[in-house]
Amino acid sequence: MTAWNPFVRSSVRPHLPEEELHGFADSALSPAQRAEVAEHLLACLICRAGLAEAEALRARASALLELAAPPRAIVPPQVNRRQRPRGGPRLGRMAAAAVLVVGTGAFTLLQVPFGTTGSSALPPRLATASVAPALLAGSTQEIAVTSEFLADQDLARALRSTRTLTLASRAAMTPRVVTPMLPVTNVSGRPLRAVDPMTAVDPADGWVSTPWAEARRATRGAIAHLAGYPVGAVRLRESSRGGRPTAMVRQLLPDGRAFWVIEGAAEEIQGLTQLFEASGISMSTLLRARPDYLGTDEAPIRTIRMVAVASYLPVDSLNAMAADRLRLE
Amino acid sequence: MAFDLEGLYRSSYDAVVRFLYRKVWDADRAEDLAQEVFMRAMHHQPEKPRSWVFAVAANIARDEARSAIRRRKHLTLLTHEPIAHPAPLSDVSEDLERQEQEAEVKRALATLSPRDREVLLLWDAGLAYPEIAAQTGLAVGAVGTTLARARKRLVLAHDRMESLREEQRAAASA
Ligand SMILES: [Zn+2]
Repeated sequence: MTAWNPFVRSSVRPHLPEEELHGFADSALSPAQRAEVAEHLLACLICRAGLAEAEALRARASALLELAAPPRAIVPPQVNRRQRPRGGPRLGRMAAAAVLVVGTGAFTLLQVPFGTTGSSALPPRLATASVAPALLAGSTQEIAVTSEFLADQDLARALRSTRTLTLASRAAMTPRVVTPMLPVTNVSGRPLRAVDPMTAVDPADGWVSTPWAEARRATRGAIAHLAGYPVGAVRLRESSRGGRPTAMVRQLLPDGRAFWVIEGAAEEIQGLTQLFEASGISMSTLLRARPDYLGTDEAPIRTIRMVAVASYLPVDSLNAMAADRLRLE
Repeated sequence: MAFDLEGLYRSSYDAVVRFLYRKVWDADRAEDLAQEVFMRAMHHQPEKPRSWVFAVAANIARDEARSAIRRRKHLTLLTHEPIAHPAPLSDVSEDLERQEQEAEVKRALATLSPRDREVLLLWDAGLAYPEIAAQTGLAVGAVGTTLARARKRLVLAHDRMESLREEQRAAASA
């Protein structure tokens, strides 16, 4: 239907087709097309109505799609949100190293294997994390944790925590420590594949994808991660020995690459080390994490728990990251 | 020109996750797959990184769809077992409302033809008409037509469901 319009100068141009109105609303037209459409709109009431309709449709479609969006990436609570990559990243020393790696042909550099000690007879050295709190001795901070739980009105957890405290003090008097079996690895020369070990872990193996808040509860507030980086996903696996679950936390560097923080009973970490090794992913030196106290009051057992940071990065960078940012709480 | 993974990540990560989410409908899975996309980008250092990541994301989502059903069943079983779910922090009814809204959008999207849906999602991910055209095999001129149709169908399908829901509510309360 062509309505008579006194303003149309060159008479024959029909009304604007719908796709052109959408293209106009989407700023997707060439400058010439755009000028033409604008000129027609200026003179034509019908097409201005058409444009309004296209714009409304466009807005509604976008609003509907917005309803079907995933929840925002979870950021550890103590992290300042301004540090998230979207808001403008702060490139620390470590990120600078990461950029350097990208710029120089990442994968040859990344082949630095975990635990190359030269003599493979020696097990990798255990370092005590600089950040590992005085919790090994289990006194003041443990109590602080307890009162925090009480403030949360979480009685069951408070009781468990007090029990932990009791067991910890007894274990300090009569140490009966489970000796960890630590892996001796040498992965140099292996072909590397870019895989995400988190997607590779078999759910049938007991790994459960867990939201951050829930993971904190399941680990009694002690989930190892690097402060200041968004957490992409968390997988937990129940420990065969009891105690806190083994945790794998995937976080993101400002440049979008992932790293993984794994924490758990030493022997479970060993299995994970093999998984990472098979993927050609390097790992930081294993650090001690907060132990679990199991067993009975008469025969308390202190388990050794280890933590490590893994990624497609040189071991030095991983160690630096761990030293700088590792949080065990 | 140097490949700028960081810039690419910052400009597209969220969009890639959203794009994948609307294909796999699982936030964790979408993040996992997005991770995979950026890892591949790091390897390939594509010339047109923005279109490239969405092309790869679309491929990955397609592969995923082939193998998803069995695994998802398995995952659902697992996630529903061991960890006791604490009371959610947000209002429960608000959550339910949100889920219902999302389900409606999901169903509305499902009424679109695969091509219309793809064009709409790519547009929403921030790709320009020529990029959408290159990825879907459409002529650039056809992108506007497709997009106009896709938007209309989405909104209509959704409104139809919404009014149906209203009717059911009215019937229930009557
Ligand atoms: Zn007109």
